[in-house]
Amino acid sequence: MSNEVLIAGAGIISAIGNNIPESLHAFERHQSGIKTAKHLTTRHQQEFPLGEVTLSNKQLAHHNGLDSRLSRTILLSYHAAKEALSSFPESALQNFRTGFISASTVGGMDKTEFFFENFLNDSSSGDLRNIMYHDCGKATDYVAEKLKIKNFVTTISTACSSSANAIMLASRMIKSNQLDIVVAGGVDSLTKFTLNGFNSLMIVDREQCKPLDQNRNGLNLGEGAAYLVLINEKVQRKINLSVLCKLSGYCNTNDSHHPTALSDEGNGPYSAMLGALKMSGLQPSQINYINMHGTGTQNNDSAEGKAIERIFHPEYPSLSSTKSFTGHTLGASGAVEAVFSALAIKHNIVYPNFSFKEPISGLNIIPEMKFRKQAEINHVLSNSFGFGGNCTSLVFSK
Amino acid sequence: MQDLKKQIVEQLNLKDIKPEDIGDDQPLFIEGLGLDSIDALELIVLLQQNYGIKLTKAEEGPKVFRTVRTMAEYISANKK
Amino acid sequence: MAANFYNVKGFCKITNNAVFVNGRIQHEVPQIPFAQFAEETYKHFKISYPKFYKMDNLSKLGFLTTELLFENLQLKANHKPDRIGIIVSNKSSSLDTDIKYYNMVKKGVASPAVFVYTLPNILIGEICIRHNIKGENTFFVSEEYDIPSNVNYVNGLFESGMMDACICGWIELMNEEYESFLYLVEKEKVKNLLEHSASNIEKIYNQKPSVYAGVNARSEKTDC
Repeated sequence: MSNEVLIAGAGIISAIGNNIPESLHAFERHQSGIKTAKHLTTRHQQEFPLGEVTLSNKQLAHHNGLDSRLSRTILLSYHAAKEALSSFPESALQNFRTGFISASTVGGMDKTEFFFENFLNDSSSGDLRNIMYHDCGKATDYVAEKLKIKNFVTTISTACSSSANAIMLASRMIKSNQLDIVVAGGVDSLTKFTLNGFNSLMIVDREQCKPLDQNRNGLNLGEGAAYLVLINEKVQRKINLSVLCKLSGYCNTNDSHHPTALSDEGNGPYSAMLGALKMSGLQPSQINYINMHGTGTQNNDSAEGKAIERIFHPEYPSLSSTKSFTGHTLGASGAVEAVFSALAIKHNIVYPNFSFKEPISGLNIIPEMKFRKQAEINHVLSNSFGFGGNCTSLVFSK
Repeated sequence: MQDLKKQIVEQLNLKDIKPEDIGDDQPLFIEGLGLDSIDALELIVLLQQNYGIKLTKAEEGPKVFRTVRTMAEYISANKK
Repeated sequence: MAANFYNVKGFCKITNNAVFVNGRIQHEVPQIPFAQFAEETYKHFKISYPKFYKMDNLSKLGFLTTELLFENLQLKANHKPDRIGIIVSNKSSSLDTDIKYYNMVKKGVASPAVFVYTLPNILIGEICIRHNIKGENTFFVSEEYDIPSNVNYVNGLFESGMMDACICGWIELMNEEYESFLYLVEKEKVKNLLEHSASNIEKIYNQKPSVYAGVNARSEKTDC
């Protein structure tokens, strides 16, 4: 019996939509979710457009039957995980070995920021409940409990490739026959902490970001949550769910060059992509679409572009950066893009870049400009590269 | 410039280096002191904190921070 | 096909301002803050890596533990960089630095050099840069050091042919409470005394260190 890993569920919430149908409509209508933030209060509010989820904490809580005082991270995470499991009968989770693997960089920092404001002024004030869920791990545990997933729960924190790594781990646990059903992905919410930090690295664009463009100026921060439900064939035979695709390959490497920048030749990305292709048994020419990490920073897009050239030149598949619509959702980005990739295979669609004028000089990388349906999409490659040199590539197949 | 050298050593945590050891015209990046991109960003913070100068274009960095002397000249020209 | 064995080749623990390599104490400076202890240890072992001073406390801890783990081991010579992995976990993620960073932001200064370290996996990045490691790397966050899960996971990676060597362990630091424990596992054709199993790792992790008189003795070549 082969131990293929099937994707039987997906859920997502981001600046472009609160669920899958809304997200796909946004791409079709070419509507970017990057604009002035409404919910995040910061002195930078007018300065930087952000990919903020349109729902407030109160609305998220109300929609999901949760306490609105919970951190936004927990609210977003549960919202997306719930959508991912929506086609699973409740009994399924009880009858099989289940896992929840979630990734985050910020954890409950949004609430901690709020707590610190009060605490620094008056150390007896500030609701301690606000920092109870500060740790990344606590958010995962809370959501796992609400989802009634008990066999295995863990948190991964490897910057922007975190949730892609969560998906890899989920697949490994299924292949090694330790778990049957795993909800894997990630979440991050916007915080002043992250905005100030990225701004100090001077890699944030004051306008809508322009990934893959010669005149790009940096990234737009975003927030969101996304989860895939991975299952083995045994579960599929018993429950007969509608499968989106399978996870046919993946690879994780370290670029080993600098804490926050990739090597010029894109060595880490190159090895990760090649490794994922090798595992899936595919030739580069068989990839129909690449969902690039494409943050819009000088460094990432050149390095990733160079790595893609090294593998695919002269026959490039369709490619784009969906971060131009959602913003860079950090810990959630690997999973957000994995969800888009899985949907691309299921629905035979290709996502565009929001905008594009001039290719990066020295490279011949031209992204898709229009959302396309009825494309022939059999294999999709999705890239996620994080600070600390952590590089992960996933391959999804029909 | 002596003060500036002290501030640079402090801001960048250059524990093994004494301010006097930095030459006025010694290149700070690549060769010379061998600073990197994060150090460049910290120098931008130094300009803002100690001299009230806001450098918003990262591309101006290499020119301004080439040596201690070029930094000092930039500060004199732009100090608030 | 010949069987493969996954052997533990060495381990290093740093806690309470004391360094233990393969269970024997190598260095100790009680009762000074961690930051000072870290610098003192760096100088004591004559390590030369100026970037050390830019790291946050968590990364310094991870860096030192790895340096001392490799004092006696020849890692680079034996394996290709992309066949060496590093799998680490802790409880507090990068919270120690997150809080320091946040306090600076409150005072109106966002330091990029500090912000860089508000992610636990940066410590992995620093180790990879120092030792030219390019393979599989992950950072887990969990309430406690879950030895059975971690050993299981790493052995699974070995079984799937992903790597030939792996640095594994626990690097936790929060304010002045810290503990690091790293060990090296290598794939070999012959079994040695310390196979990579949960019970063996639990044994060496919980081992009461032996203390030599003359605390600052340098480590000798040892087997495990």
